[in-house]
Amino acid sequence: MIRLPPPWLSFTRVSVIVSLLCLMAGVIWLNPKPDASGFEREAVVMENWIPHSFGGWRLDDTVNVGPLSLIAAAESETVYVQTLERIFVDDDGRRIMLSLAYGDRQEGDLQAHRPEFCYKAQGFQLSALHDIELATVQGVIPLRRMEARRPGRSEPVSYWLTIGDRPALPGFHRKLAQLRHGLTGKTPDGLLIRVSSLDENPEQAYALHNEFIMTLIESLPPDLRRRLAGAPRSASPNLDA
Amino acid sequence: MSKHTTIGSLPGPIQTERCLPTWQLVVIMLALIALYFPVYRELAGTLWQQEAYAHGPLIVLACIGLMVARRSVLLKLTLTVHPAPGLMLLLVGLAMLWIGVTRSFPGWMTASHIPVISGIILMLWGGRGLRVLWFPVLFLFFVIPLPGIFIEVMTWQMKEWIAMSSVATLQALGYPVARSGMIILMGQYQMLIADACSGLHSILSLSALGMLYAYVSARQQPARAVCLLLSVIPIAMAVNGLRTLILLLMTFHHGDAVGRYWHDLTGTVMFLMALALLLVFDKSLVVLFRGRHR
Repeated sequence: MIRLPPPWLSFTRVSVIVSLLCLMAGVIWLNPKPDASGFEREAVVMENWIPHSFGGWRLDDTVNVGPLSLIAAAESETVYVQTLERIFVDDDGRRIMLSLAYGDRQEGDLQAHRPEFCYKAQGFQLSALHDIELATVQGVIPLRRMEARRPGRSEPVSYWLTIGDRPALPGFHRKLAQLRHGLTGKTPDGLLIRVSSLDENPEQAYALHNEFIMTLIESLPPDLRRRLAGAPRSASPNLDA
Repeated sequence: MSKHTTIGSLPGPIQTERCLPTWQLVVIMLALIALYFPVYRELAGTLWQQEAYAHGPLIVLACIGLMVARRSVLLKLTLTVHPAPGLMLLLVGLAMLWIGVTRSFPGWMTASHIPVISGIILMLWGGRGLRVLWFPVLFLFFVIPLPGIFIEVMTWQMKEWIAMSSVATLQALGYPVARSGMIILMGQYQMLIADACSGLHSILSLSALGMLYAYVSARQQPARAVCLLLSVIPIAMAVNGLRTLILLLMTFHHGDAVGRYWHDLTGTVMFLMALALLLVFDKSLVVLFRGRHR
């Protein structure tokens, strides 16, 4: 025979349930809505972010070999709120393609797509994917390298992301950075920064990318430095993450 | 069940005390609505705006409907003597909801449904309550958004499958077609297989619909229900492949503008077609299983 609950039980139990639900409902009701947009999110005007010339590099509008369109591959206006694509040339005639994509909500479906997918979608074969860390004036940033090739075009690529004010790469650290920002009550915004060049020699290209990235970050005003490379830090982003 | 009948045969007054009175169930429902209303209002402006999760509100309504439909069984269940596990689960669920709401995490907000609802059920009726309501509780998993990486990888896989199969088919039919990554070259046209073409969102909503249908119409025949569920994804993928094929042919024969027009139109048509296919498949299953039983 099973034990039967005492007759008054259902009322007590229902009172506990209902008061818990109502308590939480009240708390939610009173709780001021979180700033869904997160960081001080004044309208972003990317147009003016990157100077037209800096440290030996200048904007090159003579060539038509535009960088791969990030939008074309993502094809979804929800992912990237804004993109900026520029080609720079230095005094030796070496060219760098720079692509920035800004999204104001970096979570779930809305987070930045990996450039890996973007290149593969356009028929590139990717090889030699690896991650490195690059020391800049703003601190160390993680970089992902890959060699994108398709007939007639060999394009070594370096890229990184920011989640809020931290640089990150897709994967575990990006998730961690999103969670960390989440715990402060903000949905982080984010930036995808991609640097590439047309070069048969990847090592040479990567050295040029490093030089370009370091010079670019050095030449930016503090707020844009923060946007591109995160808040100033001395330690590696991966170690303190 | 035999134990229930002995309880059911106890004298009236005690029995009604030890089951849940209807009005108390109604009060719990009202409190739940008060709790989740602001959540749904927020989701309506964010997550549910996305095509892949637009079916969210319908899932919630379906769950409420399914639970209400089982009320007569619930009201006859006796209360459990061990409410503590349910209480713990309810508290976990409320904590998840709190995190979700204060941090604007749609994932946490929606996921909280499951511990909150199953916590309440466990607190009242224990495991027997869950046995009655297992389906609506399980069905709530469809309101939770999938993790970004899963979407990214799945979308890619589906796109690759679509690009490969449509190019292979068109080549077999003798069309001048080639592909480079996700770009399909057909005659003078270049077409991109976009994320939206992967059909992932139609697979999600079709799976939800298929599961609901299987539960409602084939609950008594587990084999038929399993066949139905297994058929949902292949049907959705086949229909989506067909859609891509139609769009490619339309663009090739009638130009870009016609292709674009059909692009928007075929989405809905194909969803309905997949649904119709599912029903036709079920009809054949009914015939098949009837034959077996005889």
